[in-house]
Amino acid sequence: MKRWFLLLAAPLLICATNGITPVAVPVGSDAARATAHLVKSVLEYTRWPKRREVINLCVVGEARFGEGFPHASLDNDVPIRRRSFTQFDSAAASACDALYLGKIELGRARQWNALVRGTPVVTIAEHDPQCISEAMICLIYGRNSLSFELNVDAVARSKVRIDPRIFRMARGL
Amino acid sequence: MSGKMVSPSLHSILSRGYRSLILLALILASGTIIASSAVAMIQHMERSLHLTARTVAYTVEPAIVFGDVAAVREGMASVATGDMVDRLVIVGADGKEMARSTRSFEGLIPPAILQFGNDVLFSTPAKIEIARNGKVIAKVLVFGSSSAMIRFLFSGIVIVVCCVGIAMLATSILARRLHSGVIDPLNHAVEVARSVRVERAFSRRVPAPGLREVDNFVEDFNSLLSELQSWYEGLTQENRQLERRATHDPLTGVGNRALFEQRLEQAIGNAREQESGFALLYLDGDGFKRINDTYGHDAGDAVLRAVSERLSSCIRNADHVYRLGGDEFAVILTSPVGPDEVASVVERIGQTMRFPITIPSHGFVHMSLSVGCALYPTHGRSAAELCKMADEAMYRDKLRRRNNDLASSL
Repeated sequence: MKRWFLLLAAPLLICATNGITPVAVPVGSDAARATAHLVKSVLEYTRWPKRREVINLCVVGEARFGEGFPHASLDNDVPIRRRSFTQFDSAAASACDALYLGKIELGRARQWNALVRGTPVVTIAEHDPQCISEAMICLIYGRNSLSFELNVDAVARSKVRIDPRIFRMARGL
Repeated sequence: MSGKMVSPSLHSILSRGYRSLILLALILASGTIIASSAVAMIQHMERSLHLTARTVAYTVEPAIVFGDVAAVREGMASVATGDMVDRLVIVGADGKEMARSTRSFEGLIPPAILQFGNDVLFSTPAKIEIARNGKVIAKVLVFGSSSAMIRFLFSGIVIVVCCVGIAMLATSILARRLHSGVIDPLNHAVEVARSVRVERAFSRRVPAPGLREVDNFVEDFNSLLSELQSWYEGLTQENRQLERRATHDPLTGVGNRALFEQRLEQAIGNAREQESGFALLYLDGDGFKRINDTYGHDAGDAVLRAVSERLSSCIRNADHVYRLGGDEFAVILTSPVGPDEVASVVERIGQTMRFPITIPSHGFVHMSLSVGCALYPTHGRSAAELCKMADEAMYRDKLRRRNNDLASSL
């Protein structure tokens, strides 16, 4: 039975490591909604070392999903609490569980990412299509689609664990 | 032979018996194996389908959460490979179909048969619900494909057919071996029995083939043949003796009147056919009655024996002497024979009869013979005519001799 399972799971594992799959979500007028859904889904499949009662989402700069996010808690009823920053604040960063880098400069983004490196914080960069800000997840906006890239190196360094099934949906480097 | 019921041969009975036995055994064994394997295979496939459904559910769960239909499709395709899955459907929480993947591998099996197999074996799909935190977000339905089963059954049937073919071949070889070991000796025995019946070939024997039961049979058969042979030989010998006794004179050993009449008819037939002639001699002892009365019957018998011996010595090998009764003898000089030759034979007989005849305890006696001759066809063409002529000639000769004796005694 175990062998059968391995046999069936093998294609999955192969695809997870080499996956080149754009997440095709229509953008345009729905860009804000798509971004919000993607961020929420990423948080769904992120595991922190200790179970969080509440997830602190730190938003730096102007975010695509607007001021209304988050609308609701996660599927397992853990609420998401949003904290917005406009300035670099190293002291505040320690309280973050997730860091969303909005419309900020690359240098600043790197600063934020360096700040949370080695801590249980999942990082998402909105304005980094080349994924060079050392964020774990970089959003890529197409004409009619939204996809993301996964920085495996950053994921490996982080204390959070991201479900490997997410890998297959990420766009390859 | 036609019209007569011909009973089946041992060969056909045995080979038919072998064939049906092997066919039955093969069909029973292979049927049981195929059926039990098919049942095990179906159970295995059902478990496998469930596992596939579970794996698909696990694989596509994040893609469904992300709302990424392309990733859902890819996840399905990566898991549901091979020919075990006919189609795979993912239905959303709202009951609408989200994605579907259909088997691309068609193979050699006709679609109608495949569809029938699917309907019979996998009418209900393996179903797994994808849930997140107790909330069902989608359902995975996996419909099994019967193509593997159909191929298994087909190859099973092909193997059974091949095995039956091999078994039939082996049966025919076995039957042929049986034929040479059992049926050939039997046929040989039948052939020998027939030749014994038709040709009286009692000396023939059936060779032993080297199979104990058949050897026993052959041995008994051969000993029966030996008994028959000795019995038959005894019988023929007895027959010969009886025949000889019927046609020969026991005292002198020459042919009797019955044989004479028979041979005379034959001689007439032969002469008529070959258009040649033969001669008949009638001979009668002169004064035999007197010898018999004077010296007794033993002496008479000795004289008769001596006469038949001397007559036999005077004729050619092909000719024969017959004793017609009393002191009356006949000789048939077979063709070709002329009057001169007849005369010389008569002359020889006269000469040889001049020698005295030894009789037991009384010394010697003399006895001459009166000879009458008839020639075919000069004196007659029938046996009666010839006999009459010869007889008359003989009496004339006897009369002449008596007159001569009378004259010489005066």
